[in-house]
Amino acid sequence: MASHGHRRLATGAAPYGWLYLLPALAFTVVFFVVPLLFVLGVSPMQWDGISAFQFAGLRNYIALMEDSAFSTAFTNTLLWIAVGLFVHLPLALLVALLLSKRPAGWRVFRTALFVPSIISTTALALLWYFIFNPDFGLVSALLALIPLEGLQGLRLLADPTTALWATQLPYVIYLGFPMMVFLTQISAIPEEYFEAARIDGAHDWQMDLHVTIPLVKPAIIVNSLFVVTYNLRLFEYPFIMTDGGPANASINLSLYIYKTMLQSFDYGGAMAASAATIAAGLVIVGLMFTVARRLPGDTR
Amino acid sequence: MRTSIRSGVMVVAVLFTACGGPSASPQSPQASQTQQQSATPQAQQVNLTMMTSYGPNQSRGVVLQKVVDEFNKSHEGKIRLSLEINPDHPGMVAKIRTMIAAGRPPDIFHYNLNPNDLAIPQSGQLMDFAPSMDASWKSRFSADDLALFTFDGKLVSLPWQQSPALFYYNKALFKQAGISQFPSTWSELLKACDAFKAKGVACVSLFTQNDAWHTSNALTYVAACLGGLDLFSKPDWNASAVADSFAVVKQLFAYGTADAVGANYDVSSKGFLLGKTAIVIDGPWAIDPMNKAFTNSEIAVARAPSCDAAKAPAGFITTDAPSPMAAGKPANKAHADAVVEWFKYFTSEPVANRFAVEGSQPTAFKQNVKAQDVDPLFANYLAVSANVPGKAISVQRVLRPSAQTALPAILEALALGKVTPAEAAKRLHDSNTK
Amino acid sequence: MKRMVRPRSAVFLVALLLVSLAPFLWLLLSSFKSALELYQHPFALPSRWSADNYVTAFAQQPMIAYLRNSLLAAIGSTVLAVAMAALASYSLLGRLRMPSWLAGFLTFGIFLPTSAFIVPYYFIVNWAGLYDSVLGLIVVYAGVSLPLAFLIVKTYMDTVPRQLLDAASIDGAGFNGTFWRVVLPLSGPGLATACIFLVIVGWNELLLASLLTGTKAAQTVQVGIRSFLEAYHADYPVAFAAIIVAVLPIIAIYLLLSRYIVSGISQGAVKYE
Repeated sequence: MASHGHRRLATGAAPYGWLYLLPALAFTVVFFVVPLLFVLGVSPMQWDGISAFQFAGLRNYIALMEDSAFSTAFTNTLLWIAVGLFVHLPLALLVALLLSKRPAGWRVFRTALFVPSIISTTALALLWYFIFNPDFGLVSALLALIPLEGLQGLRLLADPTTALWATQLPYVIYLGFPMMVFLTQISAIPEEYFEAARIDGAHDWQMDLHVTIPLVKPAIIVNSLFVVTYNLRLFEYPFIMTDGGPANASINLSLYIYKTMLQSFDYGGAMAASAATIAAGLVIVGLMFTVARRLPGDTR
Repeated sequence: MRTSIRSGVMVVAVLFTACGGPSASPQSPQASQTQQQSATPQAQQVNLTMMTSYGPNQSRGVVLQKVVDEFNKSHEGKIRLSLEINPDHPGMVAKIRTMIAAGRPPDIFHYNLNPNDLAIPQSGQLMDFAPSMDASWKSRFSADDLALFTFDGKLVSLPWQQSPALFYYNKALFKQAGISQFPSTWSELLKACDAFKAKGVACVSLFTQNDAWHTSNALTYVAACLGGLDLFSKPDWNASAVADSFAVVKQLFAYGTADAVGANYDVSSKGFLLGKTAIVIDGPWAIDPMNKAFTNSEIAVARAPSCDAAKAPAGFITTDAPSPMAAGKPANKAHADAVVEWFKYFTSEPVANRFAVEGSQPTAFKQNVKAQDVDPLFANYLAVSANVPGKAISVQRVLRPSAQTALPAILEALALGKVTPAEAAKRLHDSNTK
Repeated sequence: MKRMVRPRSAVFLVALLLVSLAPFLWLLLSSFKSALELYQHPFALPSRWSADNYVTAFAQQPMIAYLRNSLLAAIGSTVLAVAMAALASYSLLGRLRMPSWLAGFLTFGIFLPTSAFIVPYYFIVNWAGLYDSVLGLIVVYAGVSLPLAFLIVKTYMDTVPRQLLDAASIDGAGFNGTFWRVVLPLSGPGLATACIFLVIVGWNELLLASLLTGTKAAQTVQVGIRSFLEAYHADYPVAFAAIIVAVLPIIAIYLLLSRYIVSGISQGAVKYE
C-alpha cells in the first residue's frame, strides 16, 4: 500500500519504530512460543508430571485417535463453535441492533444484559446445574405445570442426547459481551450514513441490513474470533454441569485436556490433545478469514 | 484520550512500584530458607510452609489450623509454620507435582498414596525420616503403615490418616419403612430398598461426578465381599466378582435419587441430610454436617452387609486411601530438624486426641480417647471401625489415574443401561491395565 | 435518536432481560439461605434473611485482600496488554514496512489452550521470582491476553484512513506524534473494546491464579470463591455471598467507565470526518 508519500516518510520515520513492537514480541515469545515448544516437545513423551520423560513416539497421538472420548470432545467443540457463531452471535447482533435504536430504557437493558458476563462462568454453571436438577430444579418445576406425560421427570443433564445442548443453553443466552462489542461499533457509525439512507427512502430493517451490518464488519470479525478462541478454552459449563458426562456425552477438548493432564496425569497425552486443538483452531480461523474476505463490507 | 493514556501509563508505573513493595512475596520457601540461614551464624527462625486441602470448612481443617497455631506459639522465634490451603484437591495435587517437577518440592504436604501411581513417594525429592525414627516415635505408628511408606529402605512419608468409609443410616426412615434392623446381607439390603421405594425414599446416596466416592465405596464393599479384600490389587481381577458388584450398583442406581447420575458429592450428601435417601457410605468428615442437620440422634453407623459365599471376613471395612504426610528434601540441618520437630509434635498423643475430640477424625498414629470424650456419632463410628478383621481401600483410590478418570463415565453408562455390568467391569479393567 | 421498537421486539428484549438478570437475582437470594435450605427450596425466597454467609465469607477468607489483588491484576494486566497491543499495532500499520507475518505471529497465541501451559508458566514465574505476587499475575495475564488485545486493537486501528496519517506527517507530526495525536484517539473504540474484554477475563480467571499464588498477598477473589467449593465441603450459599461481593466492584467500574467509553467513542466518530 506504499505511496510516494509513504516512502518519503518511511526513511526518516523511525529507527526506533522497532521499539514499539518489542514489548509485544517479547511477551509473545515468553508466553506462547516457549510453552508451545514445551507442548510439542512433551507430546511425544510419556510423562506424569514428576518422573523422568520417556520417549513414546507417536503413541500418544495414536491413543488419541483410538479414544472415543477424544473424538466426542472434538465434535462437541466444533458444535460449541457452531452454536457460538450461528446462534449466540446473531442473537447478540439482533439485540445490539434493537438497542442501538435507543428505545426507552435502553441503558438499563444494556447494563442488565451485560451483568451476566461479569459474573464468573463458574457461578453461572452452578446456577444452571441447579436449574436443571430433576428433583428441585426450576426446569422440572416449570415442566410440571404442563400436563404432558413425556415432559415429566426429564433429566436433561443426565440424558446423553440432551446433555450437550443443556450445557450450551446458558452460553447462548448470556450474550452481553458480543452485544457490547456490536453496540460500541454501531454507535461509532456517523449519523450521515443513516441520514443518507433515510433520504433515499430506506426502512429501518433495510438500513440494518445494508448500512449497519456491513459497517460493523470489524466487530463481527472480532466477535467471531473471540467465539472461536473462547470455545476452544471453555470448560466450566461441561465441567460443573455434567463433568463431561453422561458417559462423555458433553465433554469438549478443553475439559478433555484438563482431565488428561490433571486427573490422569498423562501430560504427554494432554499435550498431544493440545496440539490437535491448536491445529483445529488454526484451520477454523483460516476458513473464517477466507469466508470473511469474500463477504461485502468495509475492511482493509 | 491522550491524557488518559498517559495517566494510564502512570497508573501502571505506580502499580509496579506498589506491587514491588510489601505485597510481593519472597521467593519459594527453600530459597528464603537459605537466605535466612546464611544471614547470621546464630539460630534464625525457620519458616516452613505446609500445603493442605483442608480448609476451615471442615472440622479437621479447623483442628489443623489450631494445632499449627499452638505449635507456632510454643516455638516462637525458632520455627514458624504457615498453612497454604488449596481447597481444590486436584488443583493442589497438580501444584505439588509441578513443584516437584521443578525441583522445589513443598516443605510439608499431604497426599493420597496410590499403589498404582507412586510418582510422588518415588520422586527422590522427599525427606527420609528413617534416621530420625527413634523407638519412642516409632511406637506411635503401626509397623504395617511404616512399611507402606518405605521405598528403597527410605521412609519418605509419615502415616496420618486412612479414614474408614462406613454405612451411615437414617433410623427414622428405616422405622418408617418397617425395617427394624440394618440389613446383614446385600440381598436383604436390596429388599430394604424395595421397602424404601414404596415410601418414596431413595435407598443409597450415590453420585458420578469427579471421584464418584459414594458409589466407589458401595462397589468396593460388594466386590471385596464377593472377590476378597485384595481383589483389585491382582492384575487379573476376578471377573465375575467385579461384574456382579457392578450389577448390584446398577440396582442401587435404580433405587437411587433421580439426580444421582451427574450428581456431585454435595448433592449426594445433601440427599441424605435432607432425608431423601436412607443410607450413605462416607468418611468421618460427614459426621459434623449430620449433627447439624439432624437434632435427635436419628443417625447411626452400621456394619457392612455381608454376601453369599463371602470371600472376605465378616465385619471388614472399606477405607479411603492412606493419606500420609511428607516433606521436601530439606535445604540444611536446621530445616531438617525443624521439620522433624513439627512432625513429632503433630503425631504426639495430645494432638492425635484433638483430632478425635474436636475434629471427629481418626488418625493413623494412636489416639487414646474414651467414648464419652468424643461426639456420640463419632463414637459409634469408631466402634464399628475398631479391631476389624480386614480392610479394603475404596476402588477409585487404587486405580491407575487414567482409570480413575474413566470411572465416572463407566458408572454413568452402567446406570443409564448403555453397558451391561460385565461390560462395565471389562472397561474398568481395560482402562486400568492399558 | 429515539426510534420506535416493535412490540414483539420489546417482548423479546424483556424476556432476555429477565433471563439475564435471573442468575444475579438467584445468587443474591441464595446467599441469604443456609446450605440445606438451598437444596430444599432453591427457588423460593429465604425463610430468614440472614447475612451469616457474608459474615462467614469475610471471616474465613481475607476477601478485602482478594478484592484488592483481583483489581490490581485485572486492571494492571489490561493496561499493560492494551498498551503493548496499541504500540505493536501502530508499528505494523505499514509505515515501517515490517514483515507481514509479524501480525500473525502476535495473534496465533489466541488458539493455544493455555491450560496446557501451566507447567511452563509455573517454571517461568518461579524463575523470575514472581511466584505469589500480584506483579506475577499482572505479567502472566498480560501475556496470555496479549493476542486477543492485539487482534482487537489492530482490527480497529486498521480502519484509520491513510489520508489522515499522511496529512499528519505532512503537518510535521513525525512517527511518535502521529501515534499519540492521530491514531490513538481514532482507535478509541478498539481500545475500549479491548479493555472491556481483558478486564473481565482477568477478573474471572481462576486456573492460573490458583497455580501461581499461595497466600493472600496475591490470591484473587476467584481463588477465594473456590475455597468455599471444596469437593467434599462445598458451602454454596457462602460461595454465592463471595461471588456477589466479587461482582459488585466490576459492576461499579463498568457503570463508572461506561460514560467514558461512550464519550470516547463519539469523540472518535467526530474526528473521523
